[in-house]
Amino acid sequence: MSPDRPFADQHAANPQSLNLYSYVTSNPLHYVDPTGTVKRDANGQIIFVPQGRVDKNFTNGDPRKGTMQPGYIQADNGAKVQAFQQVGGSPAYKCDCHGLTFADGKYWVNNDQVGKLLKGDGYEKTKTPQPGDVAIFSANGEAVHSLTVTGVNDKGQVTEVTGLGGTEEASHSNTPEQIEQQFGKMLDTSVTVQYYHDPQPDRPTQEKLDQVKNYEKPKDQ
Amino acid sequence: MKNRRISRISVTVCALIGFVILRSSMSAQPEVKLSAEPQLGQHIAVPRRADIGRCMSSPGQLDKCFRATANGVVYTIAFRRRGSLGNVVTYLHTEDSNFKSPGGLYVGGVVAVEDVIAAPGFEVYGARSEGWVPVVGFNGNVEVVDDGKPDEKQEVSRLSPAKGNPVRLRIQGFTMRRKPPILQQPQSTTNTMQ
Repeated sequence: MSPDRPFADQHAANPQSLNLYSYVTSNPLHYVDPTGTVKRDANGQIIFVPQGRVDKNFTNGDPRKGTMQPGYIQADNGAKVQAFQQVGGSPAYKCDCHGLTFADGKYWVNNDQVGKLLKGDGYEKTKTPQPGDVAIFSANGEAVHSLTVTGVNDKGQVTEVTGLGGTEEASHSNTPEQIEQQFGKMLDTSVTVQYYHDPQPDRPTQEKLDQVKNYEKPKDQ
Repeated sequence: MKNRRISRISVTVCALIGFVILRSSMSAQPEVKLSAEPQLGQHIAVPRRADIGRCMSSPGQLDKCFRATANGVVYTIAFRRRGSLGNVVTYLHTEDSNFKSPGGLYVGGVVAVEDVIAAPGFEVYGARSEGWVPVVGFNGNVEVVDDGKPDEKQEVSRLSPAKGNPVRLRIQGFTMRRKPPILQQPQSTTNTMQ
């Protein structure tokens, strides 16, 4: 047994977290910690902590409305990453692109949380991406989209990235160039891709690829 | 005499109940008025009486938002906290028929589009420029206008407009667009409430 990294997952509000030798804050019946840092429940599901009141969503132009519970999930280093759980209304709001890339398609994660997630999960930039790595598309330094690498040719070039955008109901695949072009046109500015590798993945790569490629939100009632 | 007193008490109680009901219904639907049309990147003091909800401000962002009136037009205003500087406007949208775009377009009108811009899982725009642009659909769906026929619902991917061969689309609303990053270039002015 080895201690956790100091300060990796410690919070003054939770004194148990200060004990580097305790396992999943001494609550192994509720949480498992396969990589030594991430908190998931006993079934391997990401833990979402509700915070604040439920918000109604009144996005204009969309006849589908969602009801969103704000809260947070935790990156590997314990950093709180703001997320939303769709608790009512349309399941189109179940997750966005970042929610599928980083949170099993179960939560909505905002653009402005992506940097925190990459840092907190220990992602490393890579120029030789492999299937299962993530593609972050940015405009003027701001993350605007994320997808999972699902295809690489024998020259090491990424040929396919997969995910969804906003309220899209199902995942689909494109080339990274198509995404750069689509978002560049949408934002009327240059959009570029950077690839990241997770050295401590939470689950087998094939499992992640299967989930991302076959992802579909529940249908509206 | 006794009956008259009871009747007077009843009237007073009813009036009080009516006042409380009216007051609570007014506070549930507050009318927030702004001193001027809001701007993207502008600092904004969010009024306590505003009915705060969540809006998509881009395909990957849910921000807090509320509705307010400026110059007789109802706007949806999304905002995000920017450290100690307070709240900054991140998204502006209107579906109010009183709104007229700088180009004279209006909600329910028609725009001829040579280049449809679809934000995945979000708004579909009828122009690429910054500033107020017509929103012609949502999540890849638009309404194609062919005079004399009912509007036809279509997926953007099935349209093939081109320069000189525009497609005519029904305007659903207007959104103000600006290149990212929105939060890094806030305007110094603050919109005030009336």
